[in-house]
Amino acid sequence: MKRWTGLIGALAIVVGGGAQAQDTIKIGSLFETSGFLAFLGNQGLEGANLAVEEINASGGIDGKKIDLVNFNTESDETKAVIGVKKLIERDKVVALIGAMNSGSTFSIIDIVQRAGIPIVSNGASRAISTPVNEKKWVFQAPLTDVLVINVLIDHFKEKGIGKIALNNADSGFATSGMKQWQRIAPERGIDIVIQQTYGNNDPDMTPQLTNIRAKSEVQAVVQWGTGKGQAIVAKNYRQLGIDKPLYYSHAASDPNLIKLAGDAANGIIFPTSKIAVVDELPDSDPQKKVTANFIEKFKAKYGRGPATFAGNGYDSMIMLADAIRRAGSTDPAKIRDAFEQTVDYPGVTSVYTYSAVDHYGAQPEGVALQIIEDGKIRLYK
Amino acid sequence: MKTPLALVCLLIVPFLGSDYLTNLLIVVMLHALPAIGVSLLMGYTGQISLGHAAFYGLGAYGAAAFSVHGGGDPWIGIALATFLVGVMSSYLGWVIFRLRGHYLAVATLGFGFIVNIAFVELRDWTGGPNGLPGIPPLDIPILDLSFHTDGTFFYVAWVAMILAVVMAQNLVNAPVGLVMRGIAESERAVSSLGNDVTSLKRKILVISAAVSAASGGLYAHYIGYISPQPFAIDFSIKLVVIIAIGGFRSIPGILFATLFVTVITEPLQELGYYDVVVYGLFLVVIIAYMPQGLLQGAYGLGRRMLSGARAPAGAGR
Repeated sequence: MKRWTGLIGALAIVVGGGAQAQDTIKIGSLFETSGFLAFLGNQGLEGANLAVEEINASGGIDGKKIDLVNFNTESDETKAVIGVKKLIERDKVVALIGAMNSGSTFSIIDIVQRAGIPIVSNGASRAISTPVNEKKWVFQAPLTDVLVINVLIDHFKEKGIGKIALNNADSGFATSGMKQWQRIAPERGIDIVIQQTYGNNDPDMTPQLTNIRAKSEVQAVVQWGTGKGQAIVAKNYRQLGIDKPLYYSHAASDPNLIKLAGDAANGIIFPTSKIAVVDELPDSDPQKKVTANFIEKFKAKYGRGPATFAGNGYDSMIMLADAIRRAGSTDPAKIRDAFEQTVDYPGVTSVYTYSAVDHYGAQPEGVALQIIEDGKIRLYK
Repeated sequence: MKTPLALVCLLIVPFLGSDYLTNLLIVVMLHALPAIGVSLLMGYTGQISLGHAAFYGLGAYGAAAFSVHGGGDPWIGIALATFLVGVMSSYLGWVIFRLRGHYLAVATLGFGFIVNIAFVELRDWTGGPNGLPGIPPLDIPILDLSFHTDGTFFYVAWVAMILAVVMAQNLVNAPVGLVMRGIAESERAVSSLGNDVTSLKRKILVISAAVSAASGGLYAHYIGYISPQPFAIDFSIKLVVIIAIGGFRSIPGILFATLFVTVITEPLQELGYYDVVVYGLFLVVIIAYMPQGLLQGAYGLGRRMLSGARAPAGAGR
C-alpha cells in the first residue's frame, strides 16, 4: 500500500475545492497564456479583462457583476478539453469565450454542444461554426478568411485585376486561406494563375517567388501566412524586383512585419480591422467611437497599444454581456438565443450581425484596406 | 500484482459524479500507455527515444482515418493501426538500432519530426494543420454499449491501462526483463552470454510503439477530433520527463509520474508565461535529489522525517 498513499493524496487535492454561492455571472474563457500561441491568448485575455472591468464599473448586468474565469489551455488541444470540462462543471460558467487556437476550439465543440453552453470562439477557421445546424452553440468573433478574401476580390474587380498569383505558408491559417481562395476566386471570376506553398519556418522564399515571377500574365500577387515568413516574402519579393502589387492577408497587421521587413514592407496592401487607422476614419464610421474608446482605455490600463487580437477578446466579452442583458437571464439557452439575434453591433474588430444561418457575424464593412507607407500603416485610398 | 489490484480503486472515480475529474484521469490513463512504452525501451532497456509521439500520433491518425475515410469499425481501426505501427517500428528498429547514445536520440527525434510533417502535409488523409474532425465514438452495438461519455469511456481507458501494466510487469519480471536491464548496463556483456541484443531491442521497440499507438487510437475516438499538435515533439519530451520523474524503471512510479505531470500543471496554469520556469525547477529538484523518481524519493524523505521525529536528533545514523 505504501506506494498508493501519494496517489490518494493527489486525488484528494483534485476532489477538494468545490463550488461557491454566486451573486455574480460567471463566464469562462479559454485563452492560452502559455505555449506557442501565448502571444495571441495573452492579448485576447487582456482585451476580455478590459471589457469586464468596463462592464462592472458601469454597474454590471442588472446589478450582477461579471466574473471572468480563465483557464490557460497552453495552446494544447488535450488541455482545452480538460479546461472546458472544469469551467462548465466546477466553475459553472454560463457562457464561454476563447480559444484563439482553432485546433483548441475544434477539440471542444462536441463538449459544448452536448453541455449546451454558448461559446464565442476567437479561432479564425470558418469550419469552427459551419455547418450552423450542427454547431448550434458555437459562434465566432474574429475576421475570417472568407470575409477578407471577398473584400480583396471586390477591390480586384474595381482595379480590373483578373489574374493573380497565390503564395501561402503551410500553417493552419494559411492552408485554410489557400483552400478558400481556390474555392471563392473561380466563383467570382478571378483566375489563380499559379499557387505556391512554402514551409512556415523556411528561411528563404525565393524559389516560390521566382516561379511566380516567371508568369508574366499575373497582375497581382497575394501572400497568405503569419509570423516571420511574411517578412521574408516581402524582402525576397523586392530582391527579385517583382513590380506587381503585393497583397497580404489580415495577418499583416503584425508590427513585427514592419520591424523585420523594413523598407521592403512599404507598399504592401492588406485588408483588416480598423484599429491601426482609427484616426483616419471618417466620423460617420460606426466603429470609430468604439475603437477609439477601446484604444484609449487599453493604453491607460496596460501602458501600450492594443493589437488586433486584444480587440477580438474585447468584442467577444462585450457582445456576450449585451446578449445576457437582452436575454434578461443567465440561462445558457436564453443567452445563446439572444446572442444569435445580435444585429449591426459595432465592435472593435468588425461590425457584427449574427443569425440562425450565420454564426461568424463579422461583416465586410468592418474591414478596411490598408497600406504600409514609410513604415506606417495607413488607410488605403 | 499489487499494482493492478491497487488500480481497481480507481473504478470508483466515475461514480464521484465529476466529469472534470473523470476526464483528467482518462487523460492520465491514456498518457500512461505511451509512458509505459517509453519506460520499457528507455528505462529498462536503455535505448533513448525522442520519437514516441510519432507512434502515438500514427495510432491516432491510423484509427481515425480508418473510421472517417473508410467508414470502418473503430475497434478494428485501432487494432489495425496498432498492428501496422508495430510492423513499421520493427523495420524502423532495424535501421535505427545501428546507432547508439546521442546518435540514436537524434535519429528518433528526426523520425518524430518526419511523421509530424507528414501529418501536416498529407492533407487529403489527415486534414492537414486544421485536423480531422468527426471521429465517431467507440461502441459495442451487440451489448448496446456506447463509450461517448466520460463516465463510460473511463472504463475503456482503464482496461487498456491495466492490460499495459500487467503486460509490462510480466515482461520486466520475466527472464527477458533481466536481459533488458543487462542491455542498459552493458550490451557487450549481455551479447557475450549468447543473447541477440539487436533482435531483443527491436522486439521491445515494437511492443513500446504498439502500446503507444493503441493509446493514440483510443485518444482519437475519445476526443473525436485530432490535429498534428498533440503529436508533436513536445509530447515525446513530455514522455521522457514523465519517466524521469517516475524513476525510469518502475511501473508504479511511472503511473504516479503521469498523474503528477498532468495534475501539477493544472495549478501552474495560473502563472501563465512563468509556468515553464516553475515546472523546470521542479524537474531539476526531482532529478537532482530523487534519482529513483518522485514516488520513491518522496517515500524515502517521508520515512527519514518520521524516523527523525522518533529518534533523538543526530542519532539517525
